[in-house]
Amino acid sequence: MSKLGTLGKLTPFLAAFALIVFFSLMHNAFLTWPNLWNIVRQSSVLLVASMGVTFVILIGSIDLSVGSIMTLSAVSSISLVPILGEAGILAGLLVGALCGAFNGILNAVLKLPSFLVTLGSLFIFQSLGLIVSGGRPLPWNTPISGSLAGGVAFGSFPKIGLWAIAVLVICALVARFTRFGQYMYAIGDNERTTRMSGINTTRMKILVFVVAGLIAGLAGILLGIRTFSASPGMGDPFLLDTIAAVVLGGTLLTGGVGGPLRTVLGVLTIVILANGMTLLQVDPFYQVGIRGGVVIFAVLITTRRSRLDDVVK
Amino acid sequence: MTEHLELRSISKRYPGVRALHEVSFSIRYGGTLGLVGENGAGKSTLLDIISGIQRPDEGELVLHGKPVALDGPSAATRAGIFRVHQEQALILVYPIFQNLFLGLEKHFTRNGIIQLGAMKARSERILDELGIALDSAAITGSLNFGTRQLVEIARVVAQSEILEIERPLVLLDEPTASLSGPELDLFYRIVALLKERFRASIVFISHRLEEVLRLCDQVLVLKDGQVVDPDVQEPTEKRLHSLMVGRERLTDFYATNRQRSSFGERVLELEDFGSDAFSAINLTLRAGEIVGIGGLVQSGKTELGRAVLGAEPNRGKIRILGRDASSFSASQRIEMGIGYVPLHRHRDGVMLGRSIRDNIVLPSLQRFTSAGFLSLSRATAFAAERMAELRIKAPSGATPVGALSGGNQQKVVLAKWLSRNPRLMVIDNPTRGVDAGAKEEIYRLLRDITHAGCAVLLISDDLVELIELSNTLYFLANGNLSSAVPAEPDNKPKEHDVISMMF
Repeated sequence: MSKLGTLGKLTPFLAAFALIVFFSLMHNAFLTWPNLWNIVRQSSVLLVASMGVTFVILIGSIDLSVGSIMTLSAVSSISLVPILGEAGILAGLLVGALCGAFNGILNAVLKLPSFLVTLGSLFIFQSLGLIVSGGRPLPWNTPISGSLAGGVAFGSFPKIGLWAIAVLVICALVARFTRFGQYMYAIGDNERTTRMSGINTTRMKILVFVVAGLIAGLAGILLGIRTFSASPGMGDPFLLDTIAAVVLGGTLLTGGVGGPLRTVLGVLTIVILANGMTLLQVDPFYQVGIRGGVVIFAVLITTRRSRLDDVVK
Repeated sequence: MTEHLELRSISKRYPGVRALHEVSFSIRYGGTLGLVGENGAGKSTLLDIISGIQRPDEGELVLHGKPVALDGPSAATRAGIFRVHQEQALILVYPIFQNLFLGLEKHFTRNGIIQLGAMKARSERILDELGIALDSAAITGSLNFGTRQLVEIARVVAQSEILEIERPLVLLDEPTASLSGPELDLFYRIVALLKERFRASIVFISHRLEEVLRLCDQVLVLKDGQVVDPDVQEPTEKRLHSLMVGRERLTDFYATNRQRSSFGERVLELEDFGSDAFSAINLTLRAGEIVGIGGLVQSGKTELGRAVLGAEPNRGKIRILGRDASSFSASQRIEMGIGYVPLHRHRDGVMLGRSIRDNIVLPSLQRFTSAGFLSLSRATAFAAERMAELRIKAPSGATPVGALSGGNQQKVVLAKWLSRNPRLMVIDNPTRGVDAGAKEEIYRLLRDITHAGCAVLLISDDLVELIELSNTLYFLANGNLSSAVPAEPDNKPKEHDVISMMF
């Protein structure tokens, strides 16, 4: 597509590949099976959370509440387990979907910009998370779900990675081969035209937010299983990491271009960078800044900025 | 029954404007109706109503002999009314075949999965039948504007097939403005195919009257929202034109008698001036002179105007008032005395939500500032003077520009630049979406500023306006500038003599 240059299309691959080569040369523990499984474990939750955000960004909107939804879903799930048994965990998904519906309805029906809606709901969901959890970490002790998503399969592959791959495959197929997916691209490219072609864009946009909320809920639950706890604030770091991953992958913030298979590269870039820097014992004070620099640099070479006076907001 | 669609006393009002008044006419099965009228005559509103985008305030639509209420554009599509938009309605990131069936994907969906293969095969067959040699998997955004127009038309066929429409009604809204040469021939062939093979009836809007005469078997003239003649007998270009303006064209309308014949110093000099949109242009513009630039929609003429302003990167040399300005930014060139009236008034010309005063004083704020503080009273008084001068019709200077008519908005844009006493005005389509009365005033204003010594680079899609206003004409075709065509007041070139220069 003309909005991405050839270089832009290849950048995410090159970035991930260059990082792998770089860290392999710098540290001989990097390219080993145990570290690979580590990378899988570290990227799984981020990958799942980024899928929902990818959908929202594809339609040209933004979701700032993803981290809060993860938290609220996780603490709701674990709080319901004593009442509903382990099936209570599924209620977390419902909570996520409801949060998404809240965002979607405010954005699509009441026509509020998604940035403002999700900025507000970020705080609302955060507050609900604090109320539900009572403000302290809750232990995550659920044997069945723990055995479904924790531990390893096939010898040493982390099960949580299988979940992430499943979500990725489903999202990629949905984006490519369903009306829902294709309408996301259409809305992101030109919402007016899409609506004039008889497509109910309002319903579509609500649905996209609901799906994104549902996926964020799943990400929150997976995070709880992985860390054996659900605490207020557990999802917070994911807000910026998901958006960074989506953008690094090459999905345009203006919508219409990109998709799940691109986001996976962004996720890998972020996780490999963090993993490698930790192996090389880079001062954590520097790590965050380097990550920010990588994001800006990637966007710089990914997007074409030819017209001098294009309005950038 | 021979009537495909009949309109009965359709009226439509917008705040402050009567867009359509008691419009009645009918379209015969298999007929091609040409709809002509000046900008602002109500053609687009009429198409909006037929295609379900707007609802009429009064009157009714009778389709296949039955009254219908079209509830939105998709209802119109289901009823077999297809509109090919002037500004295209395509998803640029989609491959062509997906655009052909946009909105109808459910007909290709099995178990929730879109059968893209089947969709593509069907598209290929349709493109083939229409003789459009395009790869249906090509990304729509990679095609040029004219080619996309053909995709839009192929979409009509694709959609009427899926919806099993036996007799489609196709509304073509200035479909040929961006077509040229072989594409134009292909377009005419496709229109003929639509009628013969797909039994379509067609409503055709075009500013090229000779084209209307060639394609249409019935011509309807619209003026100020009313039907002047629903079926012009023995139409000729001249006759249509006089019906459109309501009188034989007066030389006075363009104030041609005030066209200057002697000019002052050189205000603008372009030497091998080029950009991505046009190549090596050489041109000189002197004080008091109007130089017109014509060309098709994507010919590069708008980009030329923007490059002179400095809003677009350019190569070669540009001198303003004798000084080399090639490396100057837009704001530096404005400082040197350039003013710019953009093509897209709403996007680039005005702040719709701000008052007339705020819009007018924006480029001259410095003048109303002392010690860093803005004197609002002086700004208000200044804006009021400009409003009186340009006869901007509004309750007060505090009225938001968005509440004004197109003509008054355009006057605000002009006022905002003229208050800087520019030496050169670059003006892109000054009368687009402006009613006849305001047009005349804008033309007078342009004459006034040339008499005050300002030079004007006039870029316009309106060929008559271009010919009548300019001292000298040039045409851009595919980015190349034609030779100069002189246009003295008593020896104006004819439209059909210069039209070939646009291709």
